[in-house]
Amino acid sequence: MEYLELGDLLKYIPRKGLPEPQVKVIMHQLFDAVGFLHEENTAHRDLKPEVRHFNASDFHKMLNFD
Amino acid sequence: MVVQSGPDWKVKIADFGLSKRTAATQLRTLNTGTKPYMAPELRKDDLDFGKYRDEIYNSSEYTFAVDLWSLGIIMYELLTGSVPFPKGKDLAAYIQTKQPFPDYPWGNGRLSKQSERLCRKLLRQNPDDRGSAGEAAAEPW
Repeated sequence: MEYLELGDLLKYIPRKGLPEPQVKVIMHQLFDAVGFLHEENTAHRDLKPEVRHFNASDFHKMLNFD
Repeated sequence: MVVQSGPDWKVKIADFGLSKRTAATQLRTLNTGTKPYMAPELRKDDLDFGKYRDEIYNSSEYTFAVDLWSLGIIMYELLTGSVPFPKGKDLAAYIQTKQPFPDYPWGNGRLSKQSERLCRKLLRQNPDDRGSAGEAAAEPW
């Protein structure tokens, strides 16, 4: 997997927003992920499009962890 | 959130520094999230919500509904390019007046009614009105 493909969601949001069908794809992944967390009795409490304190190696690990 | 960009978007949640494993109704207050994405019930210490204070704050405890609010903010931002309440005073005005969002993105017909319905539900003032993540996924959109 290429590091260059990865990054914060924030940096992919155009000035006037993404097309609605793409937003739907993204939001449904987030609903599923947050639903899973909540079923595990975990609240995230800091959901936001950007991430902090991560480097390319962390991204790589996360994206290959399923 | 970490992404691989479209057309096959892959989004993953990161930054679990503030997450909390606990009973659904016993999540204690911790006011250290990222402000434009933080639910009103997390901002008791820095915002004045007037007469709706008690309704929002629910006796200093909050629930998984804080994540639903953040998802509503993210959804709004993805659709429009900006967050609905960039400053604390914008959020306070929304809560105090119960008016529609300051920048109303559905007025020109570009976005679907279904997206409006869901986003508004996620951003309801009362935490109990926001539903669950499973309900959000099941909404007709």
